[in-house]
Amino acid sequence: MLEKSNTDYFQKLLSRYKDGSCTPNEVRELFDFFKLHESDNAIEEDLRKEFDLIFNNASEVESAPAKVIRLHPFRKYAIAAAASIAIIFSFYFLFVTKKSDRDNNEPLANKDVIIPGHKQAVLTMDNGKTVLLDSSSVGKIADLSGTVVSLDKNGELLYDASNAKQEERIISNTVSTPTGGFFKIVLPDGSNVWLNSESELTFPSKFLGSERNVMLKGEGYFEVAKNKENPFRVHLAQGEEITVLGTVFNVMTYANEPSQKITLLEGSINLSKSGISKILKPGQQAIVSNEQIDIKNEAAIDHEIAWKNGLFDFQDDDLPAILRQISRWYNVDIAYNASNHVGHYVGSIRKSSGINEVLKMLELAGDVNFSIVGRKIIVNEKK
Amino acid sequence: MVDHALSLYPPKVTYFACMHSMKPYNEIDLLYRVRDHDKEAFDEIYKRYYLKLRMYVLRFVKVPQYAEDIVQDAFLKVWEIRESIDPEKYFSGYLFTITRNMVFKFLKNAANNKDVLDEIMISITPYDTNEGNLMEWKELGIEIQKAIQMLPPKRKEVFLLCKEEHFSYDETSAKLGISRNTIKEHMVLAMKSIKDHLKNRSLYLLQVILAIFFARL
Repeated sequence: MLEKSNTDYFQKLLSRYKDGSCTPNEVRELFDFFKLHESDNAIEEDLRKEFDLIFNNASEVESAPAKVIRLHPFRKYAIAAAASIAIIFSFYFLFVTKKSDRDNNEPLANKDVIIPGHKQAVLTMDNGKTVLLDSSSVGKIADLSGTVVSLDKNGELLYDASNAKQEERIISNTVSTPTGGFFKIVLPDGSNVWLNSESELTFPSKFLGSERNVMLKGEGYFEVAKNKENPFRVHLAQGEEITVLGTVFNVMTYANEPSQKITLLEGSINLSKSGISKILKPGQQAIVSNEQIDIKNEAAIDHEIAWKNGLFDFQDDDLPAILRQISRWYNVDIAYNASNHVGHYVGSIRKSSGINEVLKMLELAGDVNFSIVGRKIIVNEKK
Repeated sequence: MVDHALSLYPPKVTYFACMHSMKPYNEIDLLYRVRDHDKEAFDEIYKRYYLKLRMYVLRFVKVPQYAEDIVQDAFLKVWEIRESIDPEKYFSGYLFTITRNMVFKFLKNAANNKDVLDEIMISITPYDTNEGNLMEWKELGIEIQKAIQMLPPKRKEVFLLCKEEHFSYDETSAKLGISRNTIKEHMVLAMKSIKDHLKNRSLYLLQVILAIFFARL
């Protein structure tokens, strides 16, 4: 193993090398490190990290896909019990979440250590350049025909198109967050977008023409810069389009969730899908499933955008829904060994909490126990 | 925004099942077909993973022709071990294990092989060294640019598409309407010409840079 100080330097060199920002001397230094047998571990570790980022963390051969189970028909589960679940759960939050999350600060012993998600993403430009967005890449990242791309100290990716040249080639940019990642982007028109884990936003280096078009997969929270002449349009994977002039809204469109949800906080948006089109007012939520759009009038706004504020917020959510969120955030697989998890949960907890803390809380409140094997959470029946 | 919103109300005991498979179902199908020697299914898998895998390899390997070789070899290996693939597991896991070993070997070899290291240098030297903070690359960049200018037009076009635009062989092949093998040949010959050009200069720049580096120690 390299010494600690050497490891840090080595990692810095390697990350600069990958991004193509090394000086010739640094390349030499890096390859001198490669010669050393001591660097083997660090190289292998980086090869994995990079792979996980590009392939969205699905590299575990060991991990079996989630088991699809048949659930027992609904049993007459006592409402009283369910209510007490909610109460215990909530109180538990009140006491425990004050503690700092100890398990966060422990050193990374191996790849099986489960840590909460953090700010990380990959930027891919259609000129082939790929940049890993983490603390090591702070500063100017690219100049795309005058649009300056930079990562600021707070970890926000900025597109400054104020000096963009008129006639130049437009480059398409995709920012994608891995499992356990989130990211904020300031688009060339000044709009702000927060990306949740396992999400992807594609947009041009400069908006041209009469519309501002972007594409979203996963979940994003948008604060769109006002511009009446140039509507802002979000295209979703299932063919939906959200058209706005300048508003604040959240879009949740994970492929493994039962429905997609578009929640409007401010302004107004027009949602259309295969010929149907609906207009949302602030506080409303569109629930899209199959070919249907349902409008809910009083959406639980805080609940919908809790992720953006660093919170898990459960309001009457069932276990599978909660565990899907946990799986996206801690990069773990879920396997069900229990079928009696009928409880619904209420409460909220910081997303920076260690996974043990979150699971313990669910255990105390609910009707299941958890065990962790490698990167898999197994749901067991409570004895 | 409060840190810990607490809400206490009796939850409705409504109940719905919403299990899901963690990966696109048809990929499992495809992998079962690959296991049964179905070339079409293998092509589909190749198409799905090729660009991402190439992007991954290129981040470490830098030299387009070596990156292409590694990606091709990795898929070849997948085909060889097809019968032992478990379609229920993440395919990318297999791809990772295979590719990581190849990239690792490449880096170790490059560290001890001056020829390969020179090719890496040539590949990462920015073509346009006038851009901002590229002073360190200037000397080498100018020489490499001269060498690129001396390439036959087609070879130059292929080399720049692969090096500067990061086109894959497949993309370059489609864009220029010439075969993948011809592109590979162009790339190998272009690299050789550039290396020769640098070697033939009375000051062998790569060595100069090395000397400067050691002088600083």
